[in-house]
Amino acid sequence: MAELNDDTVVKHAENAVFRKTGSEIVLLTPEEGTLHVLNDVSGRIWELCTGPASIESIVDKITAEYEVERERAASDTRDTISRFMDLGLVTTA
Amino acid sequence: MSESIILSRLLSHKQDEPFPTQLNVELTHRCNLRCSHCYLEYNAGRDELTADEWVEVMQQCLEMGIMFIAFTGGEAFLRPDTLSIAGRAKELGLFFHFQSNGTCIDRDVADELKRLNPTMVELTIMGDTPKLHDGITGSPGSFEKALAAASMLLERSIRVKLKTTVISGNWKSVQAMRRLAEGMGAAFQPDPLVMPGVFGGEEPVSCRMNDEEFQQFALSEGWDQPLGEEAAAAIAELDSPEKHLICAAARYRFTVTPSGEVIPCVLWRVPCGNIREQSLREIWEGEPMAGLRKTTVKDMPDCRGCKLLSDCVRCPGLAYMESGDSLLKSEENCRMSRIISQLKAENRP
Repeated sequence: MAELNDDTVVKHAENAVFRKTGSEIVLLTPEEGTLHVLNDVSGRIWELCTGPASIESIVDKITAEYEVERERAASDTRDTISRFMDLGLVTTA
Repeated sequence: MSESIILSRLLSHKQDEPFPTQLNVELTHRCNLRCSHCYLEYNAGRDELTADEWVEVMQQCLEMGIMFIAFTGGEAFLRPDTLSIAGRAKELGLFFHFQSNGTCIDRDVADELKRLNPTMVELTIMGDTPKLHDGITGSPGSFEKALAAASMLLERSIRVKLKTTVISGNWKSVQAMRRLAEGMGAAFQPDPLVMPGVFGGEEPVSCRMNDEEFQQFALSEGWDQPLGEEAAAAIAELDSPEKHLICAAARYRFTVTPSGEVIPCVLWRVPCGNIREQSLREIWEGEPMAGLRKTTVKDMPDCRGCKLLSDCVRCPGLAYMESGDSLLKSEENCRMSRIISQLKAENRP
């Protein structure tokens, strides 16, 4: 899993393939032919990764928009972005 | 908490029953090339579905839980509205790729494709040199245009696959085409299957490799070699007459032609209904599509129990074109599997 700190700047991978249908975001990993249907929060994190954006700025927005404790928002955001990076859908800028 | 509409559509299918995942969209049968091996008949765009009709088809796809579209032709980019149709597909949330000869993809089209975010663009090449490619396509300059298209798309981080139909005229160049593709950062896929002309033309068949040429091609692809451990295990897991003889057509994929006719596959052209008269779901669930889907090896009198089964990639469309009956054997598939089986036997210690 990718190591991320507050200063890490991320963005969508150039060849990331995704769709937005209504309020839902679906990511595709073409090599595996796998669809990833995102829930509300991870969908918002995906949008914020359009970037380039720092992890800290993304955590700030998630904390504010979802009214959760910053510590929890930071942990969930890092986990989600790490997963996107493992799938090759997000890279460091 | 809101429920996922996409997940609920995908999960609505009955377990253990095939369900459609991809629709092949033949936007047009018009083409600007005249390839000697092409199975389609050129037409001047007669009776093509309009952009609005295609959008309606794609909306029906979504309702059926179909998430993938393959835009193909003819040459799909000859339609001036292809990019706007793809744009509507994107707005609907559909994933799509294109199959094209690349000649109509210039910088502006490449830029628009970047914005449209396709899963891939598959481009046909028929050789590794202008002389060979253009000789087969009958169109001077088509090779340079195809490669330029590939470069422009790759520069924009769009996945590209170069595909070739392997025929008597180009089989010696397959490895050079592979190197060309890999050198650019594109995938490569050679296919030795040459279909008879849809309207009875014999010219495509005359382009096929003869036995000796196919043998050499198969050797160069390593089809005589025993599979690696991992591949062998994967095949063993799938190995059954059903897996060998039943393809995805009519089970997971199907096709709509430019005039709205629904068929199982671009290569298996059994008429199953027309989108102008019935909904996509009605055609998918009705006959003859449902019956084709239920076909098993038991229904194939020539193939069940065949010793060549493990080396056969039977195409029901080819059997249908050869004999008018999808369930009979295909002489061309038999020829290929006989040669591959022979090569493997000779290679066995």
